[in-house]
Amino acid sequence: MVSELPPELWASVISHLTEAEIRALIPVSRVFLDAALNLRYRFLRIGGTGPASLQKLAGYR
Amino acid sequence: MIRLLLCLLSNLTTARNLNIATRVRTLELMPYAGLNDVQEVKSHGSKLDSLLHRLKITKPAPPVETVLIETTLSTFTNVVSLILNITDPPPDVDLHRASGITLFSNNLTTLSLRGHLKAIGNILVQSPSTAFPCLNDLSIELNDRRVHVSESRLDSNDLQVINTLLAPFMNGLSENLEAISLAAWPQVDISPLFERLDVFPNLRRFSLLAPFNTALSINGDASGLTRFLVNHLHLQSMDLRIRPTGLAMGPGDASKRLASWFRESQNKGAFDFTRLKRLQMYAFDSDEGMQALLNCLRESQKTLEHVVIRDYYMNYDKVEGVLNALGDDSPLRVLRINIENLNLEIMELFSKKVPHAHRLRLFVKAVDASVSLFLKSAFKRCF
Repeated sequence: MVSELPPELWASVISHLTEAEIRALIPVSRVFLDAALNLRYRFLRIGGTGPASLQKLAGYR
Repeated sequence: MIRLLLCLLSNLTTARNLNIATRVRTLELMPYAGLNDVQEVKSHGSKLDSLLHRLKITKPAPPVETVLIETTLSTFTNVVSLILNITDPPPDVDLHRASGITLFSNNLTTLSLRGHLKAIGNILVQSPSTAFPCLNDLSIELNDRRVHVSESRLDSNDLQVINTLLAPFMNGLSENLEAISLAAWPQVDISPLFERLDVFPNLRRFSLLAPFNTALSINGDASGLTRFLVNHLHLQSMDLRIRPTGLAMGPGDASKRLASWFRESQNKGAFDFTRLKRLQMYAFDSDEGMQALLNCLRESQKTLEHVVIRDYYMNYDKVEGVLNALGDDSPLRVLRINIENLNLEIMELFSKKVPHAHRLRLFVKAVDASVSLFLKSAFKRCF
Protein backbone atom coordinates (compact mmCIF):
# COMPACT_ATOMS: atom_id res chain seq x y z
CA MET A 1 0.00 0.00 0.00
CA VAL A 2 2.86 2.34 0.93
CA SER A 3 4.46 2.11 -2.50
CA GLU A 4 1.15 2.77 -4.25
CA LEU A 5 0.88 6.34 -3.03
CA PRO A 6 2.94 8.94 -4.89
CA PRO A 7 5.77 10.59 -2.91
CA GLU A 8 4.12 14.04 -2.86
CA LEU A 9 1.11 12.58 -1.05
CA TRP A 10 3.38 10.93 1.48
CA ALA A 11 5.20 14.23 1.90
CA SER A 12 1.88 15.90 2.66
CA VAL A 13 0.92 13.17 5.17
CA ILE A 14 4.32 13.32 6.86
CA SER A 15 4.18 17.11 7.15
CA HIS A 16 1.44 16.65 9.76
CA LEU A 17 3.62 14.42 11.97
CA THR A 18 6.03 15.45 14.69
CA GLU A 19 9.70 14.48 14.54
CA ALA A 20 9.21 11.90 17.27
CA GLU A 21 6.30 10.33 15.41
CA ILE A 22 8.30 10.11 12.20
CA ARG A 23 11.23 8.50 14.04
CA ALA A 24 8.87 5.97 15.60
CA LEU A 25 7.61 5.04 12.12
CA ILE A 26 11.06 4.30 10.66
CA PRO A 27 10.63 0.49 10.75
CA VAL A 28 7.32 0.72 8.85
CA SER A 29 8.74 1.52 5.44
CA ARG A 30 11.46 3.25 3.41
CA VAL A 31 9.19 6.29 3.04
CA PHE A 32 9.38 7.00 6.75
CA LEU A 33 13.09 6.11 6.91
CA ASP A 34 13.68 8.64 4.15
CA ALA A 35 11.62 11.30 5.94
CA ALA A 36 13.52 10.67 9.19
CA LEU A 37 16.86 10.95 7.39
CA ASN A 38 15.74 14.22 5.79
CA LEU A 39 15.03 15.57 9.26
CA ARG A 40 18.26 14.22 10.67
CA TYR A 41 20.46 15.85 8.04
CA ARG A 42 18.50 19.01 7.17
CA PHE A 43 21.11 21.17 8.93
CA LEU A 44 24.83 20.72 8.43
CA ARG A 45 27.59 22.83 9.93
CA ILE A 46 31.00 22.60 8.35
CA GLY A 47 33.52 23.95 10.80
CA GLY A 48 36.29 24.21 8.24
CA THR A 49 37.34 23.37 4.73
CA GLY A 50 40.68 21.78 5.44
CA PRO A 51 41.62 18.43 3.88
CA ALA A 52 40.14 16.37 6.73
CA SER A 53 36.77 18.12 6.51
CA LEU A 54 36.65 17.86 2.73
CA GLN A 55 37.50 14.16 2.84
CA LYS A 56 34.66 13.62 5.30
CA LEU A 57 32.28 15.65 3.18
CA ALA A 58 33.18 13.65 0.10
CA GLY A 59 31.73 10.64 1.88
CA TYR A 60 28.39 12.43 2.21
CA ARG A 61 27.74 12.50 -1.52
CA MET B 1 19.85 -17.41 9.80
CA ILE B 2 23.00 -16.83 7.75
CA ARG B 3 20.83 -15.67 4.86
CA LEU B 4 19.08 -13.20 7.14
CA LEU B 5 22.42 -11.83 8.40
CA LEU B 6 23.69 -11.46 4.85
CA CYS B 7 20.49 -9.65 3.92
CA LEU B 8 20.93 -7.29 6.87
CA LEU B 9 24.57 -6.66 6.00
CA SER B 10 23.68 -5.85 2.40
CA ASN B 11 21.12 -3.36 3.62
CA LEU B 12 23.48 -1.65 6.03
CA THR B 13 23.75 1.94 4.99
CA THR B 14 27.00 3.80 4.78
CA ALA B 15 27.43 7.56 4.86
CA ARG B 16 27.72 7.49 1.06
CA ASN B 17 24.42 5.78 0.32
CA LEU B 18 22.54 7.79 2.94
CA ASN B 19 22.69 10.64 0.40
CA ILE B 20 23.38 13.11 3.17
CA ALA B 21 24.45 15.92 0.83
CA THR B 22 21.12 16.01 -0.97
CA ARG B 23 19.17 16.04 2.31
CA VAL B 24 20.87 19.16 3.66
CA ARG B 25 18.59 22.22 3.48
CA THR B 26 20.55 24.57 5.74
CA LEU B 27 24.32 24.73 5.44
CA GLU B 28 26.59 26.65 7.77
CA LEU B 29 30.08 27.14 6.47
CA MET B 30 33.30 28.72 7.65
CA PRO B 31 34.95 28.88 4.24
CA TYR B 32 38.61 29.20 5.15
CA ALA B 33 39.09 27.35 8.44
CA GLY B 34 41.79 24.74 8.13
CA LEU B 35 43.22 26.15 4.91
CA ASN B 36 46.68 26.28 6.41
CA ASP B 37 46.70 22.50 6.22
CA VAL B 38 45.82 22.72 2.55
CA GLN B 39 48.71 25.09 1.94
CA GLU B 40 51.00 22.23 2.91
CA VAL B 41 49.33 19.98 0.32
CA LYS B 42 49.83 22.72 -2.26
CA SER B 43 53.55 22.88 -1.59
CA HIS B 44 53.89 19.29 -2.83
CA GLY B 45 52.36 20.26 -6.19
CA SER B 46 54.14 20.38 -9.52
CA LYS B 47 57.27 22.51 -9.46
CA LEU B 48 56.91 22.95 -13.23
CA ASP B 49 53.45 24.55 -12.81
CA SER B 50 54.85 26.89 -10.23
CA LEU B 51 57.78 27.84 -12.50
CA LEU B 52 55.50 28.42 -15.51
CA HIS B 53 53.24 30.59 -13.38
CA ARG B 54 56.18 32.59 -12.09
CA LEU B 55 57.41 33.15 -15.64
CA LYS B 56 53.83 34.20 -16.55
CA ILE B 57 53.68 31.53 -19.26
CA THR B 58 50.42 30.03 -17.97
CA LYS B 59 47.36 31.52 -16.28
CA PRO B 60 47.41 31.01 -12.53
CA ALA B 61 45.40 27.92 -11.71
CA PRO B 62 42.68 28.24 -9.06
CA PRO B 63 44.06 27.33 -5.67
CA VAL B 64 43.80 23.64 -4.86
CA GLU B 65 41.61 24.25 -1.83
CA THR B 66 38.94 26.29 -3.63
CA VAL B 67 38.63 23.68 -6.38
CA LEU B 68 38.23 21.00 -3.72
CA ILE B 69 35.62 23.04 -1.90
CA GLU B 70 33.66 23.75 -5.06
CA THR B 71 33.71 20.10 -6.12
CA THR B 72 32.58 18.93 -2.72
CA LEU B 73 29.90 21.56 -2.16
CA SER B 74 28.42 21.03 -5.62
CA THR B 75 26.87 17.80 -4.30
CA PHE B 76 24.71 19.79 -1.85
CA THR B 77 21.99 20.36 -4.40
CA ASN B 78 19.02 21.12 -2.13
CA VAL B 79 20.46 23.83 0.09
CA VAL B 80 17.98 26.70 0.47
CA SER B 81 19.51 28.36 3.50
CA LEU B 82 23.17 29.31 3.68
CA ILE B 83 25.06 30.68 6.67
CA LEU B 84 28.57 31.96 5.95
CA ASN B 85 30.73 32.64 8.96
CA ILE B 86 33.56 34.81 7.68
CA THR B 87 34.95 36.35 10.82
CA ASP B 88 38.71 37.05 10.62
CA PRO B 89 39.47 35.56 7.20
CA PRO B 90 43.09 35.22 6.06
CA PRO B 91 43.95 38.10 3.70
CA ASP B 92 44.85 36.00 0.64
CA VAL B 93 41.74 33.80 0.41
CA ASP B 94 39.24 34.26 -2.41
CA LEU B 95 36.17 34.20 -0.16
CA HIS B 96 33.73 34.22 -3.03
CA ARG B 97 35.05 30.96 -4.48
CA ALA B 98 35.88 29.39 -1.13
CA SER B 99 32.34 29.93 0.14
CA GLY B 100 30.82 28.23 -2.90
CA ILE B 101 28.04 30.82 -2.82
CA THR B 102 27.51 30.72 -6.59
CA LEU B 103 26.69 27.01 -6.32
CA PHE B 104 23.69 27.76 -4.11
CA SER B 105 22.61 31.31 -4.99
CA ASN B 106 19.91 30.29 -7.47
CA ASN B 107 17.92 28.29 -4.89
CA LEU B 108 18.63 30.24 -1.72
CA THR B 109 15.67 31.65 0.20
CA THR B 110 17.74 32.55 3.28
CA LEU B 111 21.24 34.00 3.36
CA SER B 112 23.15 34.83 6.51
CA LEU B 113 26.53 36.56 6.35
CA ARG B 114 28.53 36.89 9.55
CA GLY B 115 31.86 38.64 9.70
CA HIS B 116 33.78 41.79 9.05
CA LEU B 117 32.33 44.29 6.61
CA LYS B 118 35.33 43.97 4.26
CA ALA B 119 35.00 40.19 4.14
CA ILE B 120 31.29 40.48 3.37
CA GLY B 121 32.15 43.01 0.67
CA ASN B 122 34.65 40.51 -0.72
CA ILE B 123 31.82 38.05 -1.26
CA LEU B 124 29.26 40.58 -2.51
CA VAL B 125 31.61 42.11 -5.07
CA GLN B 126 31.15 39.02 -7.24
CA SER B 127 27.57 38.21 -6.23
CA PRO B 128 25.06 40.53 -7.85
CA SER B 129 21.60 40.54 -6.31
CA THR B 130 20.22 39.13 -9.57
CA ALA B 131 22.00 35.87 -8.74
CA PHE B 132 19.54 35.35 -5.85
CA PRO B 133 16.09 35.21 -7.48
CA CYS B 134 14.43 33.35 -4.56
CA LEU B 135 16.08 35.14 -1.64
CA ASN B 136 13.52 36.55 0.81
CA ASP B 137 15.37 36.46 4.11
CA LEU B 138 18.69 38.29 4.54
CA SER B 139 20.69 38.40 7.72
CA ILE B 140 23.90 40.36 8.15
CA GLU B 141 25.95 40.29 11.32
CA LEU B 142 28.89 42.66 11.28
CA ASN B 143 31.75 42.16 13.64
CA ASP B 144 35.47 42.47 13.76
CA ARG B 145 37.36 40.97 16.62
CA ARG B 146 40.66 42.40 15.36
CA VAL B 147 39.70 46.01 15.95
CA HIS B 148 39.76 47.34 19.47
CA VAL B 149 36.72 49.22 20.73
CA SER B 150 38.65 52.43 21.25
CA GLU B 151 39.92 52.52 17.64
CA SER B 152 38.18 54.37 14.84
CA ARG B 153 34.92 52.73 13.91
CA LEU B 154 34.33 53.67 10.32
CA ASP B 155 37.15 54.07 7.85
CA SER B 156 36.76 55.08 4.25
CA ASN B 157 37.01 51.45 3.07
CA ASP B 158 34.09 50.44 5.27
CA LEU B 159 32.06 53.35 3.95
CA GLN B 160 32.93 52.34 0.41
CA VAL B 161 31.78 48.75 1.04
CA ILE B 162 28.47 50.04 2.42
CA ASN B 163 27.92 52.52 -0.39
CA THR B 164 29.06 50.48 -3.35
CA LEU B 165 28.36 46.88 -2.35
CA LEU B 166 26.09 46.27 0.63
CA ALA B 167 23.40 48.92 0.02
CA PRO B 168 23.13 48.21 -3.75
CA PHE B 169 22.98 44.46 -3.02
CA MET B 170 20.11 44.93 -0.56
CA ASN B 171 18.33 47.43 -2.79
CA GLY B 172 18.58 44.97 -5.67
CA LEU B 173 16.59 42.51 -3.56
CA SER B 174 14.00 45.09 -2.48
CA GLU B 175 11.08 43.48 -4.30
CA ASN B 176 11.69 40.03 -2.80
CA LEU B 177 12.94 40.58 0.73
CA GLU B 178 10.40 39.74 3.43
CA ALA B 179 12.83 39.68 6.35
CA ILE B 180 15.94 41.72 7.12
CA SER B 181 18.09 41.14 10.15
CA LEU B 182 21.04 43.39 10.93
CA ALA B 183 23.43 43.15 13.83
CA ALA B 184 26.39 45.43 14.35
CA TRP B 185 28.81 45.08 17.20
CA PRO B 186 30.38 48.20 18.72
CA GLN B 187 33.11 48.67 16.14
CA VAL B 188 30.91 48.95 13.06
CA ASP B 189 28.90 52.01 12.06
CA ILE B 190 25.92 51.13 9.90
CA SER B 191 24.19 54.52 9.87
CA PRO B 192 25.27 55.20 6.24
CA LEU B 193 23.54 51.95 5.21
CA PHE B 194 20.13 53.15 6.37
CA GLU B 195 20.61 56.41 4.51
CA ARG B 196 20.97 54.47 1.26
CA LEU B 197 18.34 51.76 1.64
CA ASP B 198 15.30 51.91 -0.63
CA VAL B 199 11.75 50.94 0.24
CA PHE B 200 11.17 47.19 0.60
CA PRO B 201 7.48 46.81 -0.27
CA ASN B 202 7.16 43.21 0.92
CA LEU B 203 9.19 43.52 4.11
CA ARG B 204 7.37 41.93 7.05
CA ARG B 205 10.11 41.29 9.58
CA PHE B 206 12.88 43.66 10.61
CA SER B 207 15.43 43.00 13.29
CA LEU B 208 18.17 45.36 14.42
CA LEU B 209 20.70 44.71 17.16
CA ALA B 210 23.17 47.55 17.62
CA PRO B 211 24.60 50.06 20.07
CA PHE B 212 23.19 53.51 19.35
CA ASN B 213 26.30 55.62 19.97
CA THR B 214 28.74 53.70 17.77
CA ALA B 215 26.61 51.92 15.19
CA LEU B 216 23.74 54.24 14.42
CA SER B 217 24.70 57.80 15.21
CA ILE B 218 28.44 58.02 14.97
CA ASN B 219 28.17 61.60 13.68
CA GLY B 220 25.18 62.36 15.88
CA ASP B 221 22.76 61.63 13.06
CA ALA B 222 20.46 58.59 13.14
CA SER B 223 17.99 60.05 10.65
CA GLY B 224 18.69 57.19 8.21
CA LEU B 225 17.10 54.67 10.57
CA THR B 226 14.16 57.01 11.20
CA ARG B 227 13.56 57.33 7.46
CA PHE B 228 13.84 53.55 7.04
CA LEU B 229 11.17 52.97 9.71
CA VAL B 230 8.87 55.63 8.25
CA ASN B 231 9.12 53.83 4.90
CA HIS B 232 8.17 50.48 6.44
CA LEU B 233 5.10 51.07 8.56
CA HIS B 234 3.65 47.86 7.13
CA LEU B 235 6.01 45.70 9.22
CA GLN B 236 4.44 42.79 11.09
CA SER B 237 7.38 41.97 13.30
CA MET B 238 10.07 44.28 14.64
CA ASP B 239 12.99 43.60 16.96
CA LEU B 240 14.54 46.95 17.75
CA ARG B 241 17.25 46.01 20.17
CA ILE B 242 19.19 49.24 20.38
CA ARG B 243 21.32 49.83 23.43
CA PRO B 244 22.59 53.31 24.30
CA THR B 245 26.20 52.08 24.04
CA GLY B 246 28.05 48.90 23.21
CA LEU B 247 29.47 48.71 26.69
CA ALA B 248 27.84 47.75 29.97
CA MET B 249 28.96 51.06 31.49
CA GLY B 250 28.54 53.67 28.82
CA PRO B 251 28.63 57.46 29.02
CA GLY B 252 25.73 58.90 31.01
CA ASP B 253 24.30 60.98 28.18
CA ALA B 254 24.13 58.06 25.72
CA SER B 255 20.84 56.86 27.18
CA LYS B 256 19.38 60.38 26.91
CA ARG B 257 20.47 60.65 23.28
CA LEU B 258 18.79 57.37 22.43
CA ALA B 259 15.59 58.41 24.22
CA SER B 260 15.61 61.74 22.37
CA TRP B 261 16.06 60.01 19.02
CA PHE B 262 13.21 57.65 19.85
CA ARG B 263 10.95 60.55 20.77
CA GLU B 264 11.88 62.61 17.68
CA SER B 265 11.41 59.60 15.39
CA GLN B 266 8.01 59.04 16.94
CA ASN B 267 7.04 62.62 16.19
CA LYS B 268 7.98 61.95 12.55
CA GLY B 269 5.66 58.92 12.49
CA ALA B 270 8.40 56.27 12.52
CA PHE B 271 6.43 54.06 14.93
CA ASP B 272 2.91 54.41 13.53
CA PHE B 273 2.75 50.77 12.51
CA THR B 274 -0.59 49.57 11.24
CA ARG B 275 -0.03 45.80 11.17
CA LEU B 276 2.58 45.19 13.86
CA LYS B 277 1.97 41.85 15.58
CA ARG B 278 5.31 41.25 17.24
CA LEU B 279 7.50 43.81 18.98
CA GLN B 280 10.73 43.36 20.86
CA MET B 281 12.49 46.34 22.42
CA TYR B 282 14.63 47.45 25.32
CA ALA B 283 12.97 49.55 27.99
CA PHE B 284 14.33 52.94 29.04
CA ASP B 285 15.34 54.23 32.43
CA SER B 286 14.49 57.83 31.50
CA ASP B 287 10.95 59.20 31.56
CA GLU B 288 11.27 60.54 28.02
CA GLY B 289 12.30 57.15 26.64
CA MET B 290 9.69 55.30 28.65
CA GLN B 291 6.98 57.67 27.45
CA ALA B 292 8.06 57.08 23.86
CA LEU B 293 7.92 53.30 24.38
CA LEU B 294 4.41 53.58 25.83
CA ASN B 295 3.28 55.69 22.86
CA CYS B 296 4.69 53.05 20.53
CA LEU B 297 2.68 50.33 22.33
CA ARG B 298 -0.47 52.49 22.21
CA GLU B 299 -0.11 53.01 18.45
CA SER B 300 -0.13 49.25 17.80
CA GLN B 301 -2.32 48.04 20.69
CA LYS B 302 -5.02 46.74 18.32
CA THR B 303 -2.61 44.45 16.44
CA LEU B 304 0.12 43.46 18.91
CA GLU B 305 0.05 39.78 19.82
CA HIS B 306 3.60 39.26 21.06
CA VAL B 307 5.50 41.85 23.12
CA VAL B 308 8.98 41.49 24.58
CA ILE B 309 10.42 44.33 26.65
CA ARG B 310 13.97 43.53 27.66
CA ASP B 311 16.76 44.57 29.97
CA TYR B 312 15.42 47.30 32.23
CA TYR B 313 13.65 46.07 35.37
CA MET B 314 10.44 48.00 35.95
CA ASN B 315 8.66 48.92 39.14
CA TYR B 316 4.91 48.59 39.70
CA ASP B 317 4.06 51.99 38.20
CA LYS B 318 6.02 51.38 35.01
CA VAL B 319 4.54 47.89 34.57
CA GLU B 320 1.09 49.38 35.05
CA GLY B 321 1.94 51.99 32.42
CA VAL B 322 2.94 49.26 29.95
CA LEU B 323 -0.21 47.23 30.59
CA ASN B 324 -2.41 50.30 30.27
CA ALA B 325 -0.69 51.22 27.00
CA LEU B 326 -1.45 47.73 25.67
CA GLY B 327 -5.13 48.33 26.50
CA ASP B 328 -7.87 46.01 27.71
CA ASP B 329 -8.98 44.74 24.30
CA SER B 330 -5.58 44.00 22.78
CA PRO B 331 -5.11 40.66 21.01
CA LEU B 332 -1.99 40.10 23.15
CA ARG B 333 -1.03 36.44 23.51
CA VAL B 334 2.57 36.57 24.70
CA LEU B 335 4.20 39.08 27.04
CA ARG B 336 7.76 39.04 28.32
CA ILE B 337 8.72 41.75 30.77
CA ASN B 338 11.28 42.42 33.51
CA ILE B 339 9.99 43.45 36.91
CA GLU B 340 11.83 44.68 39.98
CA ASN B 341 9.76 43.06 42.67
CA LEU B 342 7.24 40.26 42.29
CA ASN B 343 4.51 40.83 44.84
CA LEU B 344 0.82 39.98 45.13
CA GLU B 345 -0.22 43.43 43.89
CA ILE B 346 1.68 43.04 40.65
CA MET B 347 0.30 39.51 40.13
CA GLU B 348 -3.17 40.94 40.67
CA LEU B 349 -2.40 43.61 38.10
CA PHE B 350 -1.41 41.05 35.46
CA SER B 351 -4.47 38.91 36.08
CA LYS B 352 -6.68 41.99 35.73
CA LYS B 353 -5.02 43.59 32.70
CA VAL B 354 -3.90 40.65 30.55
CA PRO B 355 -6.20 37.74 31.47
CA HIS B 356 -6.25 36.62 27.82
CA ALA B 357 -2.46 36.17 27.51
CA HIS B 358 -1.43 32.58 26.75
CA ARG B 359 2.10 33.05 27.93
CA LEU B 360 3.44 35.45 30.52
CA ARG B 361 7.22 35.42 31.04
CA LEU B 362 8.38 37.47 33.98
CA PHE B 363 12.06 38.11 34.68
CA VAL B 364 12.18 39.02 38.33
CA LYS B 365 14.85 40.78 40.39
CA ALA B 366 13.32 40.09 43.80
CA VAL B 367 10.41 38.05 45.08
CA ASP B 368 8.26 39.40 47.88
CA ALA B 369 7.84 37.19 50.96
CA SER B 370 4.08 37.17 50.49
CA VAL B 371 4.50 35.63 47.01
CA SER B 372 6.96 33.03 48.32
CA LEU B 373 4.46 31.94 50.96
CA PHE B 374 1.65 31.90 48.42
CA LEU B 375 3.68 29.77 45.98
CA LYS B 376 4.79 27.35 48.73
CA SER B 377 1.23 26.78 49.87
CA ALA B 378 0.07 26.39 46.27
CA PHE B 379 2.76 23.75 45.60
CA LYS B 380 1.87 21.91 48.82
CA ARG B 381 -1.73 21.71 47.66
CA CYS B 382 -0.59 20.38 44.27
CA PHE B 383 1.72 17.65 45.57
